Amino acid sequence: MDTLVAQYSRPLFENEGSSQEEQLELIQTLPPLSLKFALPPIAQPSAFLRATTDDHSNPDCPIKIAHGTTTLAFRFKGGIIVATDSRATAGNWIASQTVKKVIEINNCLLGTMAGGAAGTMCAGVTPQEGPALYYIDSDGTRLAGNLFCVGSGQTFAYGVLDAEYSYDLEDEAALELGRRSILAATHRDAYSGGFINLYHVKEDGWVKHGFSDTNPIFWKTKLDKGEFSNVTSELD
Amino acid sequence: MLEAREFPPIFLCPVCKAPQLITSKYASTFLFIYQPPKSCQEVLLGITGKDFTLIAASKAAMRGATILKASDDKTRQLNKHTLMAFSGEAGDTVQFAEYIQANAQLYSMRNEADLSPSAMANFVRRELASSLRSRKPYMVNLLLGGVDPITDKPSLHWLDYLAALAPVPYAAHGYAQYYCLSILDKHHQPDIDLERGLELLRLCTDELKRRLPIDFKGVLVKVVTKDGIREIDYDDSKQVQSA
Amino acid sequence: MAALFGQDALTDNGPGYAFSQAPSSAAGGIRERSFYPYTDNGGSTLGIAGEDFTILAGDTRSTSGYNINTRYAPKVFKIGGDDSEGTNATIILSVVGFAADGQILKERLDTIVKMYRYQHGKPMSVKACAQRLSTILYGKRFFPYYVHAILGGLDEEGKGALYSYDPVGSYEREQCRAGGAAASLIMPFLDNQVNFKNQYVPESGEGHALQERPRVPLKRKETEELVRDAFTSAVERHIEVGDGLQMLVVTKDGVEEIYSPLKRD
Repeated sequence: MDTLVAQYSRPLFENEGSSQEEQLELIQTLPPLSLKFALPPIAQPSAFLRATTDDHSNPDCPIKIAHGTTTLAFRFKGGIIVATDSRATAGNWIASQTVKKVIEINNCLLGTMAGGAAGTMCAGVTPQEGPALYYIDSDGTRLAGNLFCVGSGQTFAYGVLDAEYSYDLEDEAALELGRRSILAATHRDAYSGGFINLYHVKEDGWVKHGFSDTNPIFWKTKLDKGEFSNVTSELD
Repeated sequence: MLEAREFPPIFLCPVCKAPQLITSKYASTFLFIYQPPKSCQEVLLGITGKDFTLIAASKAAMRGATILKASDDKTRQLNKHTLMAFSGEAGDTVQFAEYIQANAQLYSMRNEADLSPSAMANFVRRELASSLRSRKPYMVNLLLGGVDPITDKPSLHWLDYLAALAPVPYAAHGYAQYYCLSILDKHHQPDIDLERGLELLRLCTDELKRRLPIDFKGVLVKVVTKDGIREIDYDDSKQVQSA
Repeated sequence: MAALFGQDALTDNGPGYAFSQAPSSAAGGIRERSFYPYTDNGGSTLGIAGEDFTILAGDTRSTSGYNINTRYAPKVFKIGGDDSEGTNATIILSVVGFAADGQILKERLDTIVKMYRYQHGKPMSVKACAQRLSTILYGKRFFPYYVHAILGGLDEEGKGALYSYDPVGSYEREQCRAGGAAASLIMPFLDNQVNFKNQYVPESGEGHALQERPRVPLKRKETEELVRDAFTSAVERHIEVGDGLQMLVVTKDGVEEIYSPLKRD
């Protein structure tokens, strides 16, 4: 019985108040330069994390982290076009329609983000490299290239983009192609939607070309150009 | 009562991670039927225009890691102006297609009139729907292209293995959906001629060649017009340049 | 509970409880315990930023499964005041989800904002506080706080500022946000009533020529009414929401607290 008690009990007041370490941490207003990540006190933290936050392997997971996206970037003679949608989803719930998925790192460097294990893109100009575009993902892949689409709507964006892409595109045509490719993805991929966020990276830095609602753009595209012929009001 | 997670092996598609197959197809109780593996790698495409319907189907016949044949025809003619393209579980596809073909022909002989494409589509849907509730359902995805013999109006019907039917101006099955529908959303117009239709098909097959990791051995192309069904010479030999 | 405290009694807690896993014996006498330190305490929060004020509100019910723990557990807090009452605070925080995580999150942020004031001799800006809160949450990226946090205050120009967070610190400045159990009931209502989503000017055109209703900043009184409507409606349709409505309003004059009862059934 005594051994049993010893096994389960601890000295009285052992955890009374904060430890030295905890007190030190509390005085620090600034976060440590290298974040000390808290880990669950078990043998397999990764399994715990998967069970609690990965709605792909466990649809009933309690913590749903927002993801689902379409992002694209391509290089052409006038620089780089970067475009994204703005929807964040957690399961079937649309957590936000106004996410800024383009990260303005500095005046000549942009990053894009896609949640979960999807990749990210870095687009920027340097005097040495010129306009450069990289694809990076969570398992460490890094690829330099001319054209990338990332996220759940990537294939739809690739379809439109590949069909008319050329390195010799004019600025206006390139911007329109980027915008139209995101629109295509928001139309076919339920996890993408909201607003189209458009950027143009030029020799002397990036220029923002709006954060525009997809709905009016869709109807304008359909009614003025006759595209999206599958959308009809007939019910036969 | 069995629940989904109690079924032992659910195979996930290596690319799309979607559940592909459930073992107890022959069990007395089953709740979920999944698509057979590989069927999403088969390409079926359909495009309608002002006076025609184009149907394209990949020529590769795949079993496991092997391509058994590179000139497979995944279409059957149901009557003078209705063509059906199919993909899905090996064996089921041709069996079901030829069963439908035989019944379509029987109808034409008995009535001395062909069923219209939309009537045919609804007949096929009903057959697939009753099969779905039988002990051994057919697992077939279908496209039905036709031209109405009375109105001369072209039509296309999309039908999946769960017997969901939709009349559409353009359609695809398998991974082709993910790459081609956005292209067709942008470039398709209802009043295009055959030449433009083939240009759109070229945009689609080029994209598939460029982005799909598997070789589907090109497509077999057939066109339905008011004069009947004919095969179209389609050059698949060109290498597609990637961006 | 059983799994956590190593008691063998009370193993049959039934569904609805987060701590229902009982320890099981593996071969060789090694006892295996499941580790699941989360539960959902229900409730709902919402925040709206106005022209020169920000409102954060939350119901005061705390639940465990179908049980009501208490009818007064606040979910909205003052951050970085002079004392433990939050006197002279300029920032407010609401947390919903797992109450224990919410509590510790509030305490950590409160301490940091207080320390900032002692060390710099000025209050922390909401913008800085918002970034710091994100860092705290992301520090627990691999063992997350099970909370949906919303932070409110006034920005450098004196305009209402509202920031909302996912459990691992991804955040965004918004006009309005609902969190917690009834978020899916309240958020669409807010989209329509605060951001005028899907509202158009009558007879302004056909199809895409139709004009969107122009957005105007909400007045304080109508905002409070919106908040009350959102909660009374949520109470009608969600079992985890009810009992009381706690509202904190930040203006240039400080933080005002308003409590009003909600249905208790």
